[in-house]
Parts: sequence; structure tokens; C-alpha cells
Amino acid sequence: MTATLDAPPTEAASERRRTPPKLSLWRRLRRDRVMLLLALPGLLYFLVFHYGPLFGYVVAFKDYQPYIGFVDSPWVGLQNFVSVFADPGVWNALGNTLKITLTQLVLFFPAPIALALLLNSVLSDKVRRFVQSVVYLPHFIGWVIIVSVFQQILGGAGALPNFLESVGLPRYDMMTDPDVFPLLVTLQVIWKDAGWATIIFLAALLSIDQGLYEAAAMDGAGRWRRLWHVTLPGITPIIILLLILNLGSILSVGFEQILLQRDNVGPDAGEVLDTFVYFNGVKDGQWGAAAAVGLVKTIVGTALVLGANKVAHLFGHEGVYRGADK
Amino acid sequence: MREPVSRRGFLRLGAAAAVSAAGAAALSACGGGSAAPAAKAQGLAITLPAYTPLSGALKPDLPGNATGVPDGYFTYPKELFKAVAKPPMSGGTVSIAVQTFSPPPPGRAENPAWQEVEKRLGGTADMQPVTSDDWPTKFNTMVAGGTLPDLFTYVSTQGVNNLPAFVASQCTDLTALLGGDAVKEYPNLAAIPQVFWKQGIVGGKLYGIPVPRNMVGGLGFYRADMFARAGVTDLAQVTDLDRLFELLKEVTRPKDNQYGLVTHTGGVYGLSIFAQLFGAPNLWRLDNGKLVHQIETEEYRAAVEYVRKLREAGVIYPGSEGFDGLKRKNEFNAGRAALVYDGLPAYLGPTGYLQTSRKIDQKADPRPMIPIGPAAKAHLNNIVVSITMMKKSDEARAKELLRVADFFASPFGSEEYTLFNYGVEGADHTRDDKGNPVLTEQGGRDTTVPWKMVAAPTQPLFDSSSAEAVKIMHEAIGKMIAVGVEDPTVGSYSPANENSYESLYTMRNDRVTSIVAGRAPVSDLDRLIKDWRAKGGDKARAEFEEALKQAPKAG
Amino acid sequence: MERPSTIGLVVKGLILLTVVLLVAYPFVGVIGTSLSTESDIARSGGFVLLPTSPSLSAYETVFNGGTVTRALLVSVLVTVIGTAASMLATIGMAYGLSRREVTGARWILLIALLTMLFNPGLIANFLLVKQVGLIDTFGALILPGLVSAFNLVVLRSFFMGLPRELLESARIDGAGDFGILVRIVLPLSKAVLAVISLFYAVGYWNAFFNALLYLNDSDKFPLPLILRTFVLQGRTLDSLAAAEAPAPVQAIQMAVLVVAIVPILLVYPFLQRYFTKGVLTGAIKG
Repeated sequence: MTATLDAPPTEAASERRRTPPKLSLWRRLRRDRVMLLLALPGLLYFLVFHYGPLFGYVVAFKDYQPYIGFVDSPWVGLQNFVSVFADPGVWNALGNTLKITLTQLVLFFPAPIALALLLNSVLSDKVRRFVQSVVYLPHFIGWVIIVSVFQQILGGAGALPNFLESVGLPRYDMMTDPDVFPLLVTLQVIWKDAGWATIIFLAALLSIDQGLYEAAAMDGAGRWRRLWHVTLPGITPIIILLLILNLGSILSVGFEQILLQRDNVGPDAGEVLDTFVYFNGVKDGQWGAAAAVGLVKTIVGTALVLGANKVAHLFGHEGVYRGADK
Repeated sequence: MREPVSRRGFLRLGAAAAVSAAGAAALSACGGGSAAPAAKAQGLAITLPAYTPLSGALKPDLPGNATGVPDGYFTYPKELFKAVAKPPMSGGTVSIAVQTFSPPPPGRAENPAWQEVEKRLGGTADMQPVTSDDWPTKFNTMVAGGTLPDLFTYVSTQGVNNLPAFVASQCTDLTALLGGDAVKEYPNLAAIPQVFWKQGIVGGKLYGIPVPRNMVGGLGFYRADMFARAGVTDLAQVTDLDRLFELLKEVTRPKDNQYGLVTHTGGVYGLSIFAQLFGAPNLWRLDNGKLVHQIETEEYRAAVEYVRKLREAGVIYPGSEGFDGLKRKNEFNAGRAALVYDGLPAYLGPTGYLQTSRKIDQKADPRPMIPIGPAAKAHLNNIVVSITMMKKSDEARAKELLRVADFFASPFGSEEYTLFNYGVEGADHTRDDKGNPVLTEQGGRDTTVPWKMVAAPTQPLFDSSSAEAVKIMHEAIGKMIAVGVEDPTVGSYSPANENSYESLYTMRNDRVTSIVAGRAPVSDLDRLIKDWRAKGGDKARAEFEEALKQAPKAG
Repeated sequence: MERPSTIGLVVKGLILLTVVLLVAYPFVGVIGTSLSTESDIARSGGFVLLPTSPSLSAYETVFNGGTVTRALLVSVLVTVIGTAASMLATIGMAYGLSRREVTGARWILLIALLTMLFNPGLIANFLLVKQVGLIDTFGALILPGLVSAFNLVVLRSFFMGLPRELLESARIDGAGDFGILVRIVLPLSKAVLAVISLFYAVGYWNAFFNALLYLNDSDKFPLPLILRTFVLQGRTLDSLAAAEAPAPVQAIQMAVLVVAIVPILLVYPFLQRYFTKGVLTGAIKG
């Protein structure tokens, strides 16, 4: 079982030993030709369909109008950034966004892992399969319906306030309470996507070498110790991977979900970055404002992902992508 | 999700500030609405198309009038007439992209109505319907990709900045082709009153063909049956807004799950109803050359306070600020609220308030709310549903496309109108014993091609299922238009207004919602006014005032 | 392994039951509402668990006329072909980059990874697709989303987690890089391959935005774009309501949802077969 724990460093070390130091580029390409050929279609795809449209970012520095075009729209320097970030509303929106994404990171992120572990520990195949095939369903329900279900249960004339009143407590409408908005939004996300997100962790759990459990059992490890020393290390790489990728989208929260509910609590609590740009740029035909915020989000996301990746390496994990590995 | 009736109207359209003095003369000349000759010089002087009602038109059951009250019909005309003598095209193709509110139609091959339309058109109609929510996205890709079709919808929310520059570079100027008597070449277009054409002016020139609607967005709907249970059998008994307040309180019975008013997300607690009842201006009020914005008025403040008190009194359906539009409609139809704000077009038809609520309760009696009290006004904010613009074309092609538009503007009771709305007799519709067309199942599908979004005649009131409903609507619209107020800035163009309209609109809705919800004090209105002025309101005001000074009121 | 304690079992069972109920409640409601009449919906406030007189009229409205049926066919084809193409490209790339010593692997991976964070705007994307000549073709529904960087990274991470000893022993037996992929890597990764295919398939199945942007001919529209119009335009289905008793708008919206989910429900158990434990049992010495 220590093999799993120490796997990445050992692997890296052995690899360094294995790779001969001075092979000419041509020889190396020849050696890797099959691998590179296999990767080629994907690479071409990314270059064409993702790097091809990057010229779109010039909009952030232009007064872009579709009828004038990318080339001929006048340059405005940093005007778009200034006009967005000079508005105090954007900082409020940024704060709300972070509140919500951090709440989600703390409460939502572990939920599918816990559920996956729970499901994995169910011995009955039938029960496990049944639960599995039910919990992923809400992923396919649109936000409009989900919000209206929550409305019906928690909303002003809904089941919960009615119940509270019937037992003599004051009515409480969670949907319109600005203080708990991040929590509410996170609850909805958990309900919608926790089941769906378990799928990937289940796959990770399934690819743990069963021999490791037997070995641990033979060493006299109990259920919890096996969980701690075999199961968790087995899925740690994927957990770290997803955590890092999640950091990349820390400035984005579900646009539609928020848009449907921001009026319940008002913009002071309910405005997020994407809705702010929508109301204060997109709707007025200010393409540049949206592009400016988009560029900032890309830069922040990239920095966070690469940074977190570095941190993961410091702790001896693979992370998403192994950089300077000399 | 927001208001069903775009209260923004078509403010972004409108004459540019730069209408010359010469143009101004022509503008006042066309005030009479008749014989002003089409100004050919410079194209700056705008002469609206001369209004020429069709001769030998039908006799409506309830006559409309020149102020915009529509004709009302209880039955469909038995004898159809031909509105377009010869096919507008001689071969070739017209490409069209319009917004639609219907599901995608069956293609030409399986759609006899479409085939018949093309036969009468004399050419191929490449119709690309786009759902209204997706229209801005699709439109902008068409513009960016240089693939604008011959005729396309323009609505104010589609994110074009500097509209005068856009139309100048992409669209055909229709001023000379339609202005004054020139429109008489297209008799169906000429039968559209000038109040509608005014919505098609951009930068001092005519660029849009209006797709007319009901003039007023309305003051929402009320449940006459619920009011009657509280002792009010006729709204005339409600003489002032204090009485209305009491009435709404009386119908509020939380134990029975009944409330005075239901709202929805973005609906600002039905404020629109009360702003009109208190007589707040239709966005702007012109006072001796000075513009005052709605939010700066005492009337508006009074309306906000009123709604806030309604909420404090428990009259507003709790939690309904989180409803979507459909849920709000359902709750009203189910009799759980006595008052709702929704646009007038939501009343008639198979999924309208009237028929839907009756399906739930035979005795349900929803009616359009009408102005109450001496100060009440009705905002003329639903004049058109959209306008249609024409891609830059040479004169011959432009005239052909105008004939196409004229074809689609064929009036109620014509063979063509019947074709667009009810398809081909036999396959798509049959006539009932009173002669009213009844869609067949196939007809229901075939008629989802949004021909009526390309161009349309003025909209008559017609509902074969209920003469009573037609009467109610006719009377309500009449009462509203009688106290109707225009937005004085229609016909003027302000870059600041264009650049900040939506953000200011959002800010206003947000702040007022917070005040009504009790998250902010009423005094926050002052802060709103201050911020509104600083963030573009004052600038828009100055630009509008300048434009109004230069261009005396048209129409 | 030893039997778990009774208390543990009960607690576990209760948790799972609660989870299932929480999820199932709205689902039953969706199905119930799709079968409801206007008065059922009014009475229940919009969400019907048990319709009093179930009616299929909402489904009739949706399927009426063949538009939805044709779109269903388009969607099935796009999903099947798209998923196959995506899997091929993703597997190739994930495997090609799964060994760090491969020349340039790091850079290629970084190139792919960064795209997760890019969003140059829909107009730029549109112009590119137009330039490539995909407008109004089914290719526009597949190629612009061929490989998801997320799926790529996840799959690669799984491939890297495979015991090196296995791969090495295959190489000693004379297998080339491609042979190792086909004979060792893929069979050992069935679970994650099933997951990734599901992700792709669901992506293709639900995608409406590419279709909205890149397709003009409504005969080519896939199901989600057609269904979206029913949901979005709920309030104005007048022209469809020609039938004697038009289905309630709410019922139609729910019926649309059911129509969209059923195929996924059908495919899921098939994929679940690959969710088996013990693929690696004894693969290497513990």
C-alpha cells in the first residue's frame, strides 16, 4: 500500500533515471512517433477551434460593433477595463461571486466524494446500482424548474414557512433572505449536480487495485484504516485534479441560476460578475465591457490553475500538468 | 423573464439630433398627416408615409378610431377579399430572418400553407425563424458574418450600439421610397397609421417597417369575480386609490391562500400598474422644453410608497418576487391573486388569461385593469412588436422587397391575411357554422411560420370564442388610449441613452425592488435619482432636450 | 472482509434513502405534471405529484407534426457520431500525452489545458466556424467541441495511474505503443472510458447553442434546440393550441424535459455494466 502513497515521486524518479540525457530531437521524435501521431488530431483541434478564435480578445481593447468588424472597430486602449472596474458595483459583484464560489468549494466539492465513498461501501450490487442511477438525474433538469421546486418548498407561501407557522414559529422565507443567498445557491447546486459528479469519483474508486485492500486486510487494517490508507490515496489524484480545475472557474457561477434569483435578494447580495456584465454591458451593446471582464477572468483563472498546480507538485502530486520537470 | 412588454419601447430608434432646420419645416408640415410631398433633397427631412385607409374595407362590429383604438370583430368576415392584385415578385428568392414566439414550423415540403404563400408571392421565401430569446445572439452573428438577409427583425434589445451608424452602413433607407405619397404604391403599408411608422425612424430617416401591436401595454389584469366577492361588482365603484388599497386588502385571505397581487422576478411588485394609476409619466415628461424623468416625479414616488404599503399590509403574494412568469400566470388563473401585471396581448387566445382561467374555474372572470381615479394615465408603450429592416439593396430590389412587405401587411379579412394566420382552407382550417376559421391539427403546425412578424396590418380585436371578451378588451383599450401618454423622446436620439439605457433600467428596478421589499428605506429613492443622474441620466436628458429643440414634434 | 455493524448499515441505509427521496420527489413531480390538466396544475401550485385524470395531450403537442421526431433522429446521429469521434480524438491525445518523456508532451498538454480558461466570445467562434466552412452543416455540431480539455485531463490522469509494471511487461513482450494502448490501457480503463463517453454523449445530446449559432436550416435542428422553443416560448403556444383542449403550458414544459431525459435513462444502464470492481484485482502483486 505504500506503493500507492509514494507512487508519483518514485515514478518521476525512475523516469528520470530511465530517460537517457542526450538524445537528439530527431531520435526522440522517431521514438515517440506513435504517441505523437495519436495526439495529433486532438492538438490540431485545439489549435484551430480554440486558438483560432483568440483574435476575439481584441474586443476588450476596442469599441467593437459587429457591423464594423474586428479590424475596423476603433481601438480604445484600456477604456473598457476602466469603465467596468471604476463602477463600485463590479466590486460588490466580485465579492458576491467569491462568496458563492468559496461556499461551493467548501460545501459542494466534498459532497460527491462523500456520496461516492458511501455508494462504494454498499455491498449490495442492486442497491448500489439503483441509487447510482437515480442520483445523477437532477443534472438534466433545467434551472427554471429547479428554482421553482425550491420556491415551492422554501419560498414565501411554500411548504417550510407554512410548516413553521403551523408549529407556532415565525414564517421564514429562505429564498428572499440575502444573508443566506450563497448557502441557498450552493444547496441547489448540490441537489442538482452532486449525484452527477459522483460518477467520476466512482470510476476512480473502481480503478483502485483490489489487491491493495487484500494486502491491507492481511496487515490487520480495519475498515476506517483501509479507507484512510487505500481508498483515499487511490482517489487523491483525481480529487486534486478536479480541485485545481475548479479554481480556474472561481470567478464564474451559474449564470442562469443566479439570474433567476438575484431579484429575490437584490443586487447587493445577488449580483455576481457575470450578471453584472450582462446588465451593465451586454444588454447595452457594450461588447468591450464583457470582453474585458472575460479577459480578466481568463488571466485570474490561468494564474490560479498554474499556481495550484505548482502547489500540488510541492506536495508531491501530479496535479493537472507537470511543468518544469528537468 | 422581465416585463412581457418591452417598456423600453423603441427609444433607441428615432430621429437623430441633427435634423436640420429645413427638415424641421417638413416635419411640422407632415403634422397634418396627409399631403406633404416626399422630400427628395438630402433625405434629412423626414416625411412619414401618408396614411391612406383602404377603401371598401370591412365593417367592424366595434369600430376603432384614429387614436389607435383597434377595430373589434365578433366573427370572421365571410367574404374574403384579395388585398394584393398581382404577385409582388416575379421569380427569385427573398431571404427573411425574424424573431418568432412559436415552435419551429414544418418545412416547405410538408407545409401546404407555405407553398401557397410562395405561389401568391411569386417567388421563394427563405424564412429563418429564430425564437425571440435567441434573436439577439443570432442577429449579431449574422451582422458579424455579413450574412444579413433581405428583411430582418429589429428590436431594441438586440445589442446594436450607435444604431444610426449601423443602419447607414447595412440597411436600405426607406424615406424616399415610402415617405408621403410614395407609400401609395403599397396600399397595405399605406393603411398603417403614422403613429406606427414613427417607430421606424432612425437617425432622421425611415428605416423600419412597423409590425403594429396594441398601442398600450396595459395596467395588468384583475379578477372581477374576486372583487365581486368583496362587494365591488364594477370597477367604477372604486373611485380612488385608497379604495383600491382597501379592496386589495379585503380580497387578501392568507388562510385561503388568496392575495391581492401576485408578482414575479423582475416585476417590481407590479409597480407599472400603480405608476400609471398615479399618473407617472411614460418614462419622460416634457415640460416647457425641459424633460423630467419618471423616477424624479412625485407621482412615481407615491406609487412606490403605495406598493411598499401593499407589501407591508400583506397584500402581495409572499415569495412571488421569485416566481417565473408562468408561475405568476398560473397563480392568478387559479384565483390565488386578484391582480397581476402582464401585457394586454396575454388576454385573448387559447392560452390567454381568459380561456385558461375558465378552464380551472367556470366562474373565473379576469379582465384588463382600467385607469382608476382622476390622475390615472396609460402609457403608450406597446405600439409595435418590432420593426423590420431591409438589407442595403438597389432601388429596384428595394421596391420589390417593399411589395413583399406590403403583401405580408395584407389586412384582416383578406385572402392573404387568412392564409398567413389560418393556412389553406381544407388542409389547415375549416369554417365553423358562423364562418369563423378553425385551425386543424395540421393548421396549428403550418401556421407557425412567422409571416406576421415580417410585416402586419394594424391588429384588430378578434376572438371567435367570445364576443364578450372582444367587447371588454375594446372598451378597456378605449379607456386607456383616452388617457394615454406618449414618451416625448420617441423620435429623438440620444447616444447617452443608448449606451446606458439597460444599466440604468436595471439599477432603477433593483433599487425600487429593494425599497418595496423593505431592504431599503423609501428615502433611498433620492439616492437612486442622484446615481441615475450621474450615471448617464442627466446626459441623456440634455441630449434629448437638444434633439427636441431642433426637431419639433413629428406626427 | 468483516460484516459492517448493524448501526452502520441502518445509518447508511437512511442516508441513501433520504438522498433518493430528495432526488426522486421532483422527478415524480415532473412526470406527474407532464400528464396533468390545467386544473390539477392550478390546484397544486404548478407541481403535480399525482394527476387526477392523466392525459397524454402534452406529449401529443410535442410530437405533433414530426418536427420533434426528425430532430430526435438528428440528435441521435449527432450524439453517436460525435461521441465516437470525440472518444477517438480524446483517447489518442490522452494516451499520447500520458508519458511525460514523450517529446513536447508537456507543451501540448498545456496548450490543451489553457483552452479551458479561454472564452474569446461567440462572434469570434462564429467567424472561425464560418471560415472553416461548417455553417449549416452537421459538422458544426461536432467539430467545435470535439475534445473537452477537462475530459482529456481526466482521462490522461487515469491512464497515468495505471501500474507502470503492466505496461513495461507488455513492452518486454514486444508490444509497441499502439499495441499497449489497445491491449492493456483500454481494457483496464473501461470504467473511466464509460464515464467520459457519457460526458461526451450528454454534451452532444443537450447541446443547443452551437446549433443555434451555426445552423440556419430548421430541418437540421437537433432536439434540444427544438425543445428549447417549447420551454422558452411556453406562454405563446397559441398557434399550436388548435386542438379542442390544448395541453397546459406547464405540462408541455415538463413533457419536453421527459422527452429529453428518456434516452439518457435508456443508455445509462448500458454504461453501468462497465462500472465493475476488480478490474485490477491481482494485476500487480500487492
